[in-house]
Amino acid sequence: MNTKKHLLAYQISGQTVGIDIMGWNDADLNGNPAFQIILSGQTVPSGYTDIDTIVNWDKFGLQIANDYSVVKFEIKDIVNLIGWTGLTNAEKDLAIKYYAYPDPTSAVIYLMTTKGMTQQQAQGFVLMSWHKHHLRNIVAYRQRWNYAKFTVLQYISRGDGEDLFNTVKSLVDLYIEVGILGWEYSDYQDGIIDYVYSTHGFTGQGLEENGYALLQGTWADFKTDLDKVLVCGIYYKYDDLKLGDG
Amino acid sequence: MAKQETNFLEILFRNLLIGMTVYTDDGTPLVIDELNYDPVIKHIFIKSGSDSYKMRLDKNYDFEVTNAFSKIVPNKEKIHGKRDR
Repeated sequence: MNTKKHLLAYQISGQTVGIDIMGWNDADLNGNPAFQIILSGQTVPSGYTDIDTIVNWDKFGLQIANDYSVVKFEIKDIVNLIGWTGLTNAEKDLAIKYYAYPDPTSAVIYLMTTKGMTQQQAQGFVLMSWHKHHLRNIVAYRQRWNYAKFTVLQYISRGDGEDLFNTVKSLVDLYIEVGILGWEYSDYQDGIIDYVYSTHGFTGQGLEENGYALLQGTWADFKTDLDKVLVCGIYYKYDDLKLGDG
Repeated sequence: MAKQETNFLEILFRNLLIGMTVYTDDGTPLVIDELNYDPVIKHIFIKSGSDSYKMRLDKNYDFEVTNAFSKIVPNKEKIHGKRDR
């Protein structure tokens, strides 16, 4: 499935918010959000322009993305596209922040040569940056799994859903704690997405083979909707959740 | 002999369980003809005749056994064990 996203900004009188103009009145947005994320292939809505850069994803992405990992994956994607040597220093700083560098050695050498760090300081900085990324990623993936449960119960009964949650518990632990998605995501081991699509070690023994009765749609719809939440971070996030709400 | 990808528990389960009879929830006896064990999701897949089933490792099922098992209620303190090796 297409996972590449683009970051868009609204234009006011030909000037791009966040880029050309740093302050704007809400009325000038004509009811539109200042920033939007669209999937690659989708049409750029009227009035918007693409601001898809590492710096802009860092500056504006978290304001509109559902979670940290959406921004991280887009930054990593751009880093891979440009290549480490083609990045500016500001972009390299962000690649380290988002654990999006190609290898730790490149990051350490960069920090030693441009920031005056010793090798030990640079290695310590890279490790600490990874750990901060890891903590944010865990929060994001845990949130995604919790929203994925809602997707599951839109397709199968509560009883079947509980059976599924019990079945995939170890895969969910791997997803939340270590970020394991599966073979297609360079994890070199079976993950939750292999189970969803009955691939690799779960060929013939994955989600669809449980034989649950679908409450709506098709198995392909069900799998795509789970993929959207778990891989792409596309889900409707409640903004009215408060403890004690009825 | 043939090279076969498997795991420790699958080897044990196959040796112990193939040929045994397990009952479905509605009491239908199934003779276990084939068995897989998935170590990641910790589930057993059994085949009986042309049908196949998924079973969990953390559940009890009715099996056909020679002697009934009695439930043990401990009346002594716990044996703590060790890890000195």
